[in-house]
Amino acid sequence: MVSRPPDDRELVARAKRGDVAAYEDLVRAHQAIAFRVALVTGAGVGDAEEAVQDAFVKAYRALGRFREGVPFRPWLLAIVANEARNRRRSAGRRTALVDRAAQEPSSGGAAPSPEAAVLTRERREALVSGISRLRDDDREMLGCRFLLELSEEETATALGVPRGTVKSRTARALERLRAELGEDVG
Amino acid sequence: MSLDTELRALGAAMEWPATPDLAATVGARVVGSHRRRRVLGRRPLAAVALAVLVAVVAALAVPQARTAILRALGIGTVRIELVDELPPLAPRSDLSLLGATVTLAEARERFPGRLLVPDADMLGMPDEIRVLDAPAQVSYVWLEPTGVRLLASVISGRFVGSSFVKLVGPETTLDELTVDGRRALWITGEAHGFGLEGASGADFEELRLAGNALLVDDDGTTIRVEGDLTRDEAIRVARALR
Repeated sequence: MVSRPPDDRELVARAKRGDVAAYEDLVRAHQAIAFRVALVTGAGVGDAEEAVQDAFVKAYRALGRFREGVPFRPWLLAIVANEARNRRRSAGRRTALVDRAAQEPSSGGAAPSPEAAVLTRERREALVSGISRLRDDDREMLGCRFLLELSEEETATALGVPRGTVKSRTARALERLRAELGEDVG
Repeated sequence: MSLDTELRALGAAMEWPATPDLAATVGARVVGSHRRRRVLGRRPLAAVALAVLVAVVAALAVPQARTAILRALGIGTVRIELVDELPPLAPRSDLSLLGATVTLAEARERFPGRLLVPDADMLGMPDEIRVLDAPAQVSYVWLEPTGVRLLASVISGRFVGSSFVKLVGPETTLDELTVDGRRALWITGEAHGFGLEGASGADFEELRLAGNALLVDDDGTTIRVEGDLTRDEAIRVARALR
């Protein structure tokens, strides 16, 4: 019989009791999405790494206030987004949204992934360029909802807005992106 | 293909930078750590000089009676409006509502008259200073991982055609008091909105704070303190703005 891996709730409970190894497991489980949230929030790669590391440390120190039964991931991502924004502000700039997105996927000669094949290079470049010209809040919203495919609820928590606002802001951000792309916005 | 579908495809095709493995580093940083003393911890607050606080508490405890009294209530340039039912308040964590971030020197330059600033020895340095120009307001913000922990704002008494309005519902308790001779209002209970009312009506915002607020009329300038604070802590914060 294979034992099931501990879930977030169990790991959080152990971490609250001072089990650092359990917290390290939480870090491993969520560091990838945390890193990408920091990137779409406008931090450069180096800043994103620092932001995520600091966010995990702050989250650990705030575990005492973490409410039982609440999902850990969106709570963590809210801390990550705050950290990344603070770095973006103090740097006085925002990085182009993951410029790599416009590059040819480095498939090493292999066939491009089905997802990559859906969009032409020109279209990817246009989309990334359009997103990069959006306001910070629009870029964050589209980044979380579509590039990272966070749920509305997770996006709401991570960006600190009501769930209903996610819908309306997403719609407005899409409109503004269409305008940036020179497309008919109806 | 719809634009949102294209964006999902873009995300899936992205060449994301490799995620660094942070587990060991984070683990090392938190081992043996203790929760950091709060910037506004009890110790520095206790260090605030304990001058005698003249707090004349006039609790307006009868909900039915409050409407008539509080409709006319104002503290400095802030008007307090009691309403039977609060309109939907959009909880906001977007600090841009408080204006742009500035340095303390810029804040002093933009604020008409003498600007009250926090005593860093008592409160620690704020994480952010933000400024609005009309009406003039400087906000000192102390952050915690999930948002704002403490907000202390200084609002100019100069009338510029729009003013701040504090909107409170029937489940909110208001206590009138004086702090070192200055008229003050302590607001607790149900969340309350704080907004700017201009010619086109009021645009309310609510920062995600615990709901306790202290307003102090400092000779026309209004001090606003909000956060997860007891009344005495809020008073000490207000008194640490000098």
